[in-house]
Amino acid sequence: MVFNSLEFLLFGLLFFLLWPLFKKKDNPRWLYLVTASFLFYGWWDWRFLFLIIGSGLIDYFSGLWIDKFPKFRKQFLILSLIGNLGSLSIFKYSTFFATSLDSLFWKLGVQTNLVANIPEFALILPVGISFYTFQSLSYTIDVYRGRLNPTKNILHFFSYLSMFPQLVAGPIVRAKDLLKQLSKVPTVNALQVWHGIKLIVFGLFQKVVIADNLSSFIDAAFSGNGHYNGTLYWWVIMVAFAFQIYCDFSGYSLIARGLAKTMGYHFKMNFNHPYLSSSLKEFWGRWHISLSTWFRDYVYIPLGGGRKGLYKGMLFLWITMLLSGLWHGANITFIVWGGMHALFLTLERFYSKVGILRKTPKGVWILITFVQACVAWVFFRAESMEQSLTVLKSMFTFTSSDFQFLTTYFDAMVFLGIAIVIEISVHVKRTKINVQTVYRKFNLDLVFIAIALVTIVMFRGEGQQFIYFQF
Amino acid sequence: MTAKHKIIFFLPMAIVIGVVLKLVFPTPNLNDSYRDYCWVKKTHSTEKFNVLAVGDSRIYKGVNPIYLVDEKSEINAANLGYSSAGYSKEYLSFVSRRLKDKGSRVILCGITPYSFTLEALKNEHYHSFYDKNKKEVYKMLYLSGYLKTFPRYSPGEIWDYFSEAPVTHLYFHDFKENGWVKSFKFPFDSTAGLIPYRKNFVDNTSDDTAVEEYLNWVKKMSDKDVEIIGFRPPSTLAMEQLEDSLSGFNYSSFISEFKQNGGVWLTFSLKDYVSYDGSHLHYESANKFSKNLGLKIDKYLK
Repeated sequence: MVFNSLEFLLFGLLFFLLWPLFKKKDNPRWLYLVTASFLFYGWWDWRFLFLIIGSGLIDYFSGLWIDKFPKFRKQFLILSLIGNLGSLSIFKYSTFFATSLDSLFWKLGVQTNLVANIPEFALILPVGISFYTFQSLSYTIDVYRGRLNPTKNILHFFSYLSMFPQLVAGPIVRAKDLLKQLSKVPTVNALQVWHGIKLIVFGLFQKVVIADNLSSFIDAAFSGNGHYNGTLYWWVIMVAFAFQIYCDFSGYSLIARGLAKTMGYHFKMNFNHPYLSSSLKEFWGRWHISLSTWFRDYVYIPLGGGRKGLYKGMLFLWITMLLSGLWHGANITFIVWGGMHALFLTLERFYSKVGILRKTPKGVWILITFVQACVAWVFFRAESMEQSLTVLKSMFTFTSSDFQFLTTYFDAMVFLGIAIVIEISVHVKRTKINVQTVYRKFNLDLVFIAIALVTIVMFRGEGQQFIYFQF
Repeated sequence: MTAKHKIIFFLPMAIVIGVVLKLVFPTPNLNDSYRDYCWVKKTHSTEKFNVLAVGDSRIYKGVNPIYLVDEKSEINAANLGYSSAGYSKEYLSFVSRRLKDKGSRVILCGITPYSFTLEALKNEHYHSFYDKNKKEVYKMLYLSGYLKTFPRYSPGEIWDYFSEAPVTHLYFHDFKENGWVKSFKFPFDSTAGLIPYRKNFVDNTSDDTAVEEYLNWVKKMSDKDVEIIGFRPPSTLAMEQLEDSLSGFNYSSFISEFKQNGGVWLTFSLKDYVSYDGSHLHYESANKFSKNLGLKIDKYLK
């Protein structure tokens, strides 16, 4: 079930109603969390539960055996890697790999039809598989590295793996952070609850008001039903998409964090206003932080990171970014999206050292970084490489634009404007102390949350799934 | 103010703001929660009827069931039209299931040249509701209905309302539980539908097998004492000429076979009705057309 649904509202109310009865003792608390989380996940399709239970059991026992049989620790880590990456390959990448191989063989003059031979069950993509497999993997890797003691209680483990607020779209919570929290009786005070409510309401606002109201404008353009073209049109589309995907995903993360906070747990921030970044390096420290740090800790640094010289460091950066692209989707466009970021990051390493450029005002760098992100988003959103290149051509060949789209999609323009104003306001609030003082003095958070709640009800967009569920 | 106070006050504050805004803002033109409820009810209700109007959007916008039957009688009627509906086996089976098992039984079939094209036979609009799983259907029938109290507002509509700008364009839809959709468009443009309809027939002409299967169904239903009444839903002359020239559908031979299979064919004069886009009837014309249809089928309703 999705957070922006009536069934989740009922589920959430019931969960929090009974939570105080179960939270005081370990096993009842974990059992309650696991049961609720399985109900939450199984609501999509109960058959998906077999997969999460299966991969969870592999990691639970791998963790135990790595600790118990140190001689075979490598073998148990490999077992966990095969279990997790294997299921990810089957369910997420089999069609992509089969199509790519078919196409490669065809070019070599050999006709194969691997796609047709993929078993039917493998064509279904279980919701959030990339998230929980990565979360589960981090557990066994940390146990293997000796940074984490495995939990012996299977309920404790599954309450970490399947905890419903972050199960299907993150944040990807590390075992060493959450297992420890889960082993204590959670305590919540009024301030935490208020912070939780604020996160939930603002997350819903981002998702339901901003992202959902922008979707029809963007979808029409990419499905060819937009009836408009030209440079300005496509730039507005890409700016709108930048905010749609940001608000969609950040919204989910905020709701997840808010729910956890209301339960008495703390998830780290997953988005920190990425479009206010003045470099792409900074952008990746603010965008999907839990995934960026996952790739940093489990791919980039183990490869060698920046310790093996500039050129090797760049090679590792490219590998990491391309893998990150592949993680997002089984399509060449996602890999190119990762590649675009790697390219921009590579260029950034060079031009950031140029003296004159360093003196350029921060605002200009924020704009340049945002433009780079928008250009890369073209590959992320487009259905094919061909479409990506057509859109990029429209964006950079300065063809005339029919301004009529601004009135046709007046509503979408209003919501895009609101999203931009919010980001600028955040920037102003962070940098101007007197604004912060006024904000606190007049309890503006209370007013904004009340207004956001009304807006969610009155200006909600057409119900959409969260975009990141497909990953 | 402490966090505790804020927790207590944020909801009442939101309710007050919401109520004030609801009083100040104009009522939205479209209530999509109610729209979805009406479609799901049309598709998943098990209620059976004596009179059914079936076909595409010209039917669900053009035939108002309340004028088909005498409201004082026990005979009931519903509109089971869907966008771009085609007479596929599934759709005909769906229609048959919704017809009463005994008593007066009439099926009013709006026959357009598009009804038998391969695109129409996919019945995508019908399937978008029919294929919903039970959970979704339950939610839309019993929970989303309550959302009609909270319609979605459009900043554009609010802007137009407060700027007191003259209405330059409007596409109005009012969904009814009996399956009819009261609609009109401002300004009227009787040529608006011609371009999309021209595209409709590119590589998509009438399918002879589908016509034959439909006629067999007419025969089968007529043999069961069900009156199958066919007609061409009124649109505009330009639209009829366009459809006749592009669709490959031959009305005269179809009508002849339709009658041979037990169907009754009705004709209506185009000049009696007004279409706002060249395809669909303005709701006043739809009511007029429904009354005329009601008069013509009265003799079949004992």
